[in-house]
Amino acid sequence: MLTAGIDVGSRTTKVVILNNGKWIGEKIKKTGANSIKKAEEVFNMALNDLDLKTKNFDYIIATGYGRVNISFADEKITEITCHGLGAHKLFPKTKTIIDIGGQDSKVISLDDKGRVDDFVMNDKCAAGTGRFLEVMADNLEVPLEKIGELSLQSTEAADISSTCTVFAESEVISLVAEGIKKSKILRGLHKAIVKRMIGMIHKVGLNKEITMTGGVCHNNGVYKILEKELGIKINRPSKPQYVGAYGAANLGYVKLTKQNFKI
Amino acid sequence: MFKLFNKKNFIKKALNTGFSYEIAKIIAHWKAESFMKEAFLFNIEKAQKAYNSNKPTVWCSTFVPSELIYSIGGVPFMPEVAAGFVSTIGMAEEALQKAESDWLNNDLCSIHRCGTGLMLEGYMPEPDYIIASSHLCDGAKRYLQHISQEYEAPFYLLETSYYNNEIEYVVSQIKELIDELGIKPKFEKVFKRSNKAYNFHKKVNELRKKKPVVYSSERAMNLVPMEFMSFGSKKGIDFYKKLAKTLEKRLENNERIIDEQKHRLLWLHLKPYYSQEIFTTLRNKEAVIAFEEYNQLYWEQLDINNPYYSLAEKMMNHFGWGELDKQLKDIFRLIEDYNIDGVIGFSHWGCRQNNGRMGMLKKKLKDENNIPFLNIQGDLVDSRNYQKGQLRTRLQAFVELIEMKKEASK
Repeated sequence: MLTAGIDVGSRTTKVVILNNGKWIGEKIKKTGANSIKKAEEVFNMALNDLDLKTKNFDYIIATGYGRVNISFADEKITEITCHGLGAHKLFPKTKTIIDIGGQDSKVISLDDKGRVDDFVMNDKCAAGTGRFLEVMADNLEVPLEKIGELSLQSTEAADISSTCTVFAESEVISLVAEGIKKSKILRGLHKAIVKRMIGMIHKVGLNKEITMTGGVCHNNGVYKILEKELGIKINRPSKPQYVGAYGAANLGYVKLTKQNFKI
Repeated sequence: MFKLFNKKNFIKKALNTGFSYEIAKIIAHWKAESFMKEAFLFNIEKAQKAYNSNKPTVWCSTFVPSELIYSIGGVPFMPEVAAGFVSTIGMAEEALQKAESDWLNNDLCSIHRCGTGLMLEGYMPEPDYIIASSHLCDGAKRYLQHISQEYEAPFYLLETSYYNNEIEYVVSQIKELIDELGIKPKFEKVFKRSNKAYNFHKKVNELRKKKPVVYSSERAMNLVPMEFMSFGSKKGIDFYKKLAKTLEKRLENNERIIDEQKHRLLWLHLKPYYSQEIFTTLRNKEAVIAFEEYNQLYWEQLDINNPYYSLAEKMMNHFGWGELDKQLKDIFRLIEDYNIDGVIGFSHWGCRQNNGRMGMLKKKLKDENNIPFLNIQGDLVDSRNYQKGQLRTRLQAFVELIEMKKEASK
């Protein structure tokens, strides 16, 4: 039984393919300007790797901000539900999911079966998201994949009062002009994101087992500072960006096999 | 460059010309049906009187009882309602920008900003005097006083006490206001009309408890100004009477707003006036808003033998005013009465009406009733604060959550 999950995020589009609930393939690409075309392209690439055709699939679920336009999907389900189930499948005891994606960040709490019990999302802007870190990395002329490690090299954090991308950008420019070390500035930026996430976590309640998902999970700075601030070990999937697509593919499988999880 | 057509001047002239209202009435008679016709006619007539009649135009904040204005022979004009209307027709941005250029911070309530902008642009009818109340909208008194100074119109403030045992203070202020205006109020006629409308409104609310949902919530919320402005007028009776009759008929004929109505929701506060997407998003997920907090009857029928006390009581009994326990009790009553599966609370930018209650409500709903609660932030009239994608995801995820909870309880 073949099921697929397509997570069309603001920054990247991800596809996960399951055979009888077992992960057999995945693909990721930058979403770019045409999310519909990109979703088709990424899906076809994933199919080619496995020598499969669309007609072989029993159920396809689209999720992510671009889900609404995916015409070849059987169903469209929000990333909240899909991230919840995806994380639950990877870490069955997890009750709190922290997802920091390109455009938004969210905290989800789950029941024992991986059903969403509550959630909060960031409001209004890119504050505290992957996009925030991208802009700051650009300003500091540090490759995105290195900012996390660099932030951990400093024991001190520069004072960043705003998580608004525009205001924080001007703060960073001022700090650079003052000659503050990049590692200290980055520590401050990472801390600002973490503080914002902690506020969201407490809105839905902090549970014993936490899992972090989304592209920002690759950033060691955010991950380690978050663990330190919460005083708790956080689960980290090996492929954090795929959790939403994995959850979507799983939901398809669950629906077809009529397991005790239904929406 | 010579302009053949100037939109602003055209609108201003139309508002100040009797002929345009006559045309609007003909269109309302021709196009609108039943209760909607009454609502259109009421608003057209009120606007016509506010702009063109000899009766005093009394600007007031939304929570000043309209019965008070009708009793003193005034035409109520609520700039907050005008702000909602211009937002619906896509004209709010211009007014908001005008207000912001006049030093109004853009984190203040956009309804007040929009009202001020419309005044500065010269769209509003000139007030003879202005009455503001202090409850719920903490910014209303300040912006209305600003407006009173622009027009050099007298400004009166009714300070609404927070605790019920201080009602005499509110009573004395209403008495003082009427004494100062030197008008003999016609309470009897106005109260009788208000109470008649009340009975029909009560019937409407009873009918809305039934299944299926036959009255769309976006329309119910678009017509909330009828509750603010029409009580005490003859048209107010006609409107609620026809609305009750229409709903009765729809229930008889099973004219549901959507076929599948899996989840019944309660809506707290008001909704964005420039977009109806919230409702279509919910309907696509087979969820319907069964009732709205703003359409509840929170006051008792007005007592002609005790008019000042009765008006003060109406003000103080507002569901959004007073101690939080009382507010939460009201919400729980609505949940039970309307058989609610989930509650959505809309938090309007710059508004403090929900302050303090959202967290308590969410916790109480979860702990005591296992009813999900979604708090969404947005703006009632400023479309620049609208995040379509984020809002859609929140609403859809909320319905998915309700669905999963129902499944889990099976």
